[in-house]
Amino acid sequence: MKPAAALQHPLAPFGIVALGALALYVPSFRDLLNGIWGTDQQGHGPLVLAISLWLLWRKGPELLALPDQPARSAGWGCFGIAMLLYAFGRTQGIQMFEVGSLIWLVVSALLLFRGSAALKVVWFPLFFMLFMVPLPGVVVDTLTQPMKLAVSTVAEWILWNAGYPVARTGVILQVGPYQLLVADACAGLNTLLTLEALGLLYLNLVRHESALRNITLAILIVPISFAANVIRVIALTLITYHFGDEAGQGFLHGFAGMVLFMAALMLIIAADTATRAVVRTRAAPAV
Amino acid sequence: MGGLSRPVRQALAMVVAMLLVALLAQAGRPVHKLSEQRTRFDLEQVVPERFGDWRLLRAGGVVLPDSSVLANLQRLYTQTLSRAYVNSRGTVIMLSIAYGDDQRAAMAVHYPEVCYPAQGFQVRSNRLDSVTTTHGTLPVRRLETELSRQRYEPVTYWVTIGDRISLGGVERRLIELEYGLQRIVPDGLLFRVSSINRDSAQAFRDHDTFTGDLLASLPAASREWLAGDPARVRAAVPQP
Repeated sequence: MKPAAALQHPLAPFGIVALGALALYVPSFRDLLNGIWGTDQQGHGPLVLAISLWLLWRKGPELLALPDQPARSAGWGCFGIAMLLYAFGRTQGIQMFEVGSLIWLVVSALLLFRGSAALKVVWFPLFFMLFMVPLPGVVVDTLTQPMKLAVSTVAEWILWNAGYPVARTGVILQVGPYQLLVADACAGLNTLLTLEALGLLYLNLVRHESALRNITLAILIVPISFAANVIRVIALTLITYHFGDEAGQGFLHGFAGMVLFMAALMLIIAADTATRAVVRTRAAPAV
Repeated sequence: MGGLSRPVRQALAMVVAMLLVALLAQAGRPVHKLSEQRTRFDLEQVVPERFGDWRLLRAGGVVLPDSSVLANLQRLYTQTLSRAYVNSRGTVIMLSIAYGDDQRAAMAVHYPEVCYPAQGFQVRSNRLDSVTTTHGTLPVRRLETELSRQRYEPVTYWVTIGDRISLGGVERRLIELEYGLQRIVPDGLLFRVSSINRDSAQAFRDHDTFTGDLLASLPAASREWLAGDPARVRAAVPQP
C-alpha cells in the first residue's frame, strides 16, 4: 500500500495534528465567541488567534529548512500537559487552561516533528498566543480597579485644570449635569493587553535590529496605553459635555474607542522615533 | 501501513488521543444546573416586605452599580433585589441580594470589596466574623466603608455557592471543584446588608438583628436558598 504523496510532505504531520486539534478547539472557540470573546473586554481574543496562526504559517518555510532532530520525550510530555489542561479546563470551566492548552499542543508538535530549534524559530508567534489566553476574572478585577481609578483621577485633574466643571467619586465622573462611569472596557487591563499585543506585533513586523530599542518600546507601551486611556476618557467626557448624553453613549462612544487606538498608535510611533534618535546618538561614537 | 513515516504515525497517534480527550471532556462537562434542581424562587416574593419589626421603606439609596453596567449585571446575575427597610426605632437597613445561576469562575458574583471602591467608597476595614441566627451560625465578612468622610456605611455580607457559604479564596475554589467533578453547575448569591452609621459596632448589631429576623421569618426552603444548608454551613465557620 502506497501512502498518498501528500503524506510524504514534510509538513504533513503538522497538518494531521491541526485537523485533530479541530475536534478539541472548535467547541471551545464556539463557546468563547458566545461568551467572553463576544464582549468588549476580551474581544481581541479571536484577532490574536488569527494573527498567531498567520505568524506560524509564515514560518513554514523556515521550519522546513531545519534539520530533523525531534525531541521525543519533551514533545510527548508537552502533549500530555496539553491534554490534561484541556480536559481539566474544559470540564471545570477554567478557560485559562482550556485555551492555554493550545500553546502546549503547538509546542509538542514542533518538538516531535522538528525539534527544539523550531521553538526558537517561532518563539514570537508562541509568545503572541499568550495574549489570547483569558485571565481569571479575579486577576482582571484586581488589576483593572486601580487602573480605572488612576485613569479617572488623571482625567479629572486635567479637565479641572482646563476649566471644566468636573468632579469625581471613585470611577464616576460628574461633568456639568452629566454623570459618566468609567467602565471596565474603557480603562481596563484588557485594553492594556490589547495595546501591548498590538505594539509587540508592530515591533515584530518592523524588525528593529537594536534590542535596546525593542525592549524600551515594549516597556513604554504600558504608560502609552495608560495615556491613551486617559485621552479616551477625556474625549468621551468632552463629547458628553458639549453634545449631550446621547452623543456620548451612541456613535461617538465608538469614535472615542478609535481615538484610543489612534492616540496609542501615534504615541507608539512618537516613542519609536524618540528611541531611534537616542539609540543613534548612543551608537554614533562607536562607529 | 508500513509506508507511513514515523512523524506521520506519531501525528495519527496524537489525533487519536485528541479525539479521545475531546469525547471525554465533552462527556465530563457539567450538565446539572443546581438552579434547575431547586424550586423556582423569585427574590421579590421570597423576601417579605414586612417581617419582625421591619417594614419596607420606599425610598432607595442602596449603593448599586451605575445603569451603564446594567447589561453586564444582567449577564452575571439572574435576579437582583435591592431594598431598604426601617424598624420602629427608625433604624434603616439596606438589603441587596444578587443571584446568579452559574457561579463558576468566569461568572461569579462580585464582592463588595470590589464594587464599593468603584463607587468612590474607601474600605477602611475588612474582617471575618459570624452571625448567630436561628438558622445556625453564619460566617460573614464585615467591611467598614466611607465615602468622602461623609457617608459611613458598614457592610455585612456573605456569598453562597450551591448550598454552602464561602467567603472566597482557596476554600471557594475547592467547593467549585467539588461541584465540577460531580458535573454540577453551582448557583449562588451575594447577600449584603448595610446601613449608614458612624458607629460601626452598633451598625453591625443592627445588621445581625435584621438578618436574624429576616431568616426567622422565612420558610426553610427559602432560608436555605439565601443562607445555605445549615448542616453544611456550620462546618465552614471560620475559627476566631
